[in-house]
Amino acid sequence: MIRFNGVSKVFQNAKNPVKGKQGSLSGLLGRSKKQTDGKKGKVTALDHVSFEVKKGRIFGLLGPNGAGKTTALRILSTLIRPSEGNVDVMGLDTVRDSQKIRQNLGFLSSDMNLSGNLSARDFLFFFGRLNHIDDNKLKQRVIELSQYLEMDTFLNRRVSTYSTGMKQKILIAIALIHEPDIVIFDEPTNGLDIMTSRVVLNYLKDLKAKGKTIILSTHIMSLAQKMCDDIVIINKGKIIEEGTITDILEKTQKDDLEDAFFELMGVDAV
Amino acid sequence: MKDTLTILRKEFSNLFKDKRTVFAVLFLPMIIFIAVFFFMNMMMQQEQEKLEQTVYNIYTNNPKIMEQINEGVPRSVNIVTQSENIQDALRDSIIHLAVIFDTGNTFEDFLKDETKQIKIFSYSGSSASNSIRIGVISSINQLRDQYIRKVLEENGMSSGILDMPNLLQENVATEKEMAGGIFGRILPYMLIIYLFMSSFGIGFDTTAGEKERQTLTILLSNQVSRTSIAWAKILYIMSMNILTATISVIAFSIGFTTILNDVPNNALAAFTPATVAMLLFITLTMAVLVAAIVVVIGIFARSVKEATSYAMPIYLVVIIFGIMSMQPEAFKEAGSLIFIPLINGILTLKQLFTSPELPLMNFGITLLINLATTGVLVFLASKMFSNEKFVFRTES
Repeated sequence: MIRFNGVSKVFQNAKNPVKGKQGSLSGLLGRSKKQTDGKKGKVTALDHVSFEVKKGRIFGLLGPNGAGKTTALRILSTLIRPSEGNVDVMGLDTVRDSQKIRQNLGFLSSDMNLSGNLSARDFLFFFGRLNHIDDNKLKQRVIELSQYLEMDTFLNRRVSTYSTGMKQKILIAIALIHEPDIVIFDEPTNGLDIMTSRVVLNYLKDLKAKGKTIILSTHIMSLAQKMCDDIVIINKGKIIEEGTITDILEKTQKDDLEDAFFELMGVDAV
Repeated sequence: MKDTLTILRKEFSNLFKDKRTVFAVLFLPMIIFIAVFFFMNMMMQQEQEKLEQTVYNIYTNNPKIMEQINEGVPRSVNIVTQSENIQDALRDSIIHLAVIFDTGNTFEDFLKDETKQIKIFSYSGSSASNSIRIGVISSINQLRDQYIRKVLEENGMSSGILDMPNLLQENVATEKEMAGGIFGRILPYMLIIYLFMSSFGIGFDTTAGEKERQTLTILLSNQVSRTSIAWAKILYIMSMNILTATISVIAFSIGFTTILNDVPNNALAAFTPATVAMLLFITLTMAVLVAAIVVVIGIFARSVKEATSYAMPIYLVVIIFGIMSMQPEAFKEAGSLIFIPLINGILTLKQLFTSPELPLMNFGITLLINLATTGVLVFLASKMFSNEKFVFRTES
């Protein structure tokens, strides 16, 4: 259904390609820089990556900070183009058919934000109309999402007054307003409390039950183990392992995905 | 088009939900302009009244001649004959003028002396000093004139030779041309300032500002086309441009006419239906072009700060032409400048109000060039919205 075919991404003149903070896993691993090809300012974020995401499954893209996860998701969501290779989404090419692909895609990224004087309701109606949902259906959809994600209490407040968790909820609702077949969530539980995280994760399971394809990017291994059917682990722009959770646990002879992850990274777990 | 209107509606909704911004963008310029000119006018009147009521201290070494001169000065004067340091006394406003005569007991004696000389000391930092200086010089000339008349009559000659002829002055400019001269000087300059000024705030906020705040990615990840986004941003900026420019120009005109002395009674005579229509079209094309320039710069820049610094040179060049257009004789012939986008708008606006005939040819060229340039910029902006190098180019 979704296929990455030998995808590479090289950023030209990248000033600060790595956003990994001190103390992050990438820092601990001594991998604070992405692969460079020796030329000044050229950074390879993805290096001939190929994998497949099957319809109706939850797919996990795992890796340390700066591994290339966000780049892969941005390519998939047509925001950026691959330097080499191609991505096929339901028979459509992310470069040639970008607008068509976006019709069927809900994208939540960690670098998205909302600001201004509009309320969550205003934003939901705005993005609903951009997705050409008729007003009656849209009203229904807004009620449905706000109830499910427990946004009723702040739906009419200005987004500039929201907490991080509230913003994350509304961003999730915006990504899902048009009921896309493919949902791409980059760190979806960022900033959410434990209760809200559970609500969001349950909702993702419901979406899966409805036959939607979900792609999750996360560095929380417990979340990936609980939610994902298939996973790909990438580091420094290259795939280091892929398969089902069971496959990976068997291969590494570990009981826990976090331990398996450290094993694959060549680092002893604490 | 539907998507463009949806984004446009959202932008306006966002703006109009903030009462402070609405006040600052739409009402503040109007209040400021009218208030500034009202207070300027008030202060000028107060200054005039103050000058009329002041008792002027004039130091002189010859009070007798000075008394004669004072008779022709329409001010209350107090003659001072003692002052230690004239310069300091003038600076400290102890005296307002110092008049030093070389010779003579009377003004007539003084005039008869071939080496006659009067030294007048004043202080340009004081309006009272300037005012009394003018009054004294004028009175000296009048006394001299009276003396010459007396001498001529004593010698049996008619003093009529000194009389000024009846000056019959007639300005052949029509009422429309007189009014147009004023608007032709003010309008292009004011319009270009406000088209840019309002664009900088709103335009860079909705482009570079959205990149900085990371609010653009969510819009780009939706199915809306990049051309629709570009058009929506341009139309939003353009609408706000026209709105704020219109309000500001009207407010400025109201304020400005309160301090102008040469405004014809029927200033609105300059606004015939044809000039209004042409003014509207030129303003629209200039507004859309400025908006397109701002959008392209805004997408290119990493931040609002960077965008403002990129736009400043363009703004300065255009402002220079705006200032030049305030000269009555400037741009009577547009020449090849008519082919430069935006500048051509300033020239045609000027000609629209100052030429006896409507500048139809220049009007057509201006519209064509400005719209064609806008088209190119819209195409460029939509390409830039699709290009990751610009969309994800931020300072963070």
